[in-house]
Amino acid sequence: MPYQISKILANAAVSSDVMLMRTAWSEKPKPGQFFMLRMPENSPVLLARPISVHDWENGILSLLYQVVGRGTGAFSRLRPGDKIGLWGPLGNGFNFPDPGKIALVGGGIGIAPLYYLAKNIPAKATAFLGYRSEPFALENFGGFCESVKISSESGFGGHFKGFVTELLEREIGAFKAIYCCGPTPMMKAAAELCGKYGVPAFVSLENKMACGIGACLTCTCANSSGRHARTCLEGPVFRAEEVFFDA
Amino acid sequence: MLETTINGIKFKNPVIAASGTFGFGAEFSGYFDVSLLGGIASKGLTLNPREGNAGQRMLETPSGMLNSVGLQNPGLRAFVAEELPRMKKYRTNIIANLSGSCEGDYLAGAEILDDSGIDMIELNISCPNVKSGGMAFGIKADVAAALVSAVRRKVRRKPLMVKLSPNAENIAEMGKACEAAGADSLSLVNTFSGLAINIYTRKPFFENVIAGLSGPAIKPLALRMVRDVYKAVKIPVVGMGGIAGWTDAAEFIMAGASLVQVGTANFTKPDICLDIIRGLERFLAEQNITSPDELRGII
Repeated sequence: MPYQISKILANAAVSSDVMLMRTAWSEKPKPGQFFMLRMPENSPVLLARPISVHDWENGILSLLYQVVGRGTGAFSRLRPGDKIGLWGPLGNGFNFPDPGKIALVGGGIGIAPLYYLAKNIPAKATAFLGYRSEPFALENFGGFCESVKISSESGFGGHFKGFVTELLEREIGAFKAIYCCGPTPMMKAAAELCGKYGVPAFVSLENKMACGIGACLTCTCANSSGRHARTCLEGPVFRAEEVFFDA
Repeated sequence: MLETTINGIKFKNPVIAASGTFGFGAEFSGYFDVSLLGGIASKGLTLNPREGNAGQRMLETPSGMLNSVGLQNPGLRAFVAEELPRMKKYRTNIIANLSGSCEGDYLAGAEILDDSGIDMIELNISCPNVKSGGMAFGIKADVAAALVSAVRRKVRRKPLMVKLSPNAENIAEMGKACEAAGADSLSLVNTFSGLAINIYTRKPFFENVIAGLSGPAIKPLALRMVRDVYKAVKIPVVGMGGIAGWTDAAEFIMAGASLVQVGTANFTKPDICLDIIRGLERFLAEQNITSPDELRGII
């Protein structure tokens, strides 16, 4: 679909540094796809920012994003009725898994695309969600998942104190595949676990990018094909064994 | 109204999508009809395929961006066999951007392109010259002129446009040297050499240390250089550097550009070239001007 300027319907904090934006978008995206978002005019921020689809329902697109720098900082100050420029949906998205028990493994803001995946896959998955401290955006995971396991590095609220991959390892043998999105060290650890237990893993990568549509070649990642794959176009979802996490 | 002819090639309007920012056109075809462009400059092409640089490749800067892509491209033969037939379906001029790391590669590439279906060659002389310790061909006028004149001897059918680096020792002298060496036109500016440092790791942000700065931050510098070169040469000048809207494009034309190229701005809004074309049309109509020729080089 062409570039659009869309009205902000909601834009509110769900934690100290994570916000949920809702805006109109008529076409249903695929889980794991993302949009490029930009301030529509007179912004000191030059480039758009890639933000993954957290939900889509009846023409309303929900985007969960962490406020980390100038770009997302500018988004965080938008109010309902303001305008946002966007293009998408972009990227390959998650391929729906074969029937069988699957695990969704998210870390921090990486939980954002997993919610929309949980909602759209035929069978209920088990979600493993890892946070630094206080969990956020949890409210609906339970409705679309068989169970939701939570870890918190600080042990906030009595949740399991540690890494989400520790929770995953306890049950990994039960799954036909895992779908993972989060910080690189966490995805690397999850991929290693999956390698060890012979479970196929799909990881959704995040890289700095300028255009989101395959032209700038700045979001590339080295992979086992010997090529530099574009995170925006050949990804963001890759088979874990293809990815060089240390590159 | 916007039609402009340079080197015998008719451009329906003076807006060209710049090399390295528009892929091979198909990436943008879902966002607007790319046949509406004056032309498309291909991704920088080398004789052999290149995977490009490792590590981080992009950093946003105030009103600009640094890139260190490293000429990732499928190679000239794959371009001619696979990409060019797709590009030819667009009713616009196809400019092949030719890059290289030694004279031999440039010459072999020039021969391939001269026999192909492209409309024009844009010779990128900003590439590091392996033989001279990595200093770009486009820094010293005599080094650039030697390359241009060697390429000129291989390019018999296609117009040869030379893309100048703003890192040249003296941009006007560089323009004159390339003109004397046989360039049919000059495009400028490529990216400025820049540096970013990660203060926590105490290392350069980019593995290649230096990176190319583009975007609105460079526009006043680029505009000044376009004017300097326009005044120094007789061949057509194609202006670029930070064009982000139609007013910028109009400024470049007034500084002497026959055509303009839009680069980084394509990343910020995929159909921005169309906004620029429409804006120029409106401006000319409002000003009762029938051709950009009336504005060219008036400064």
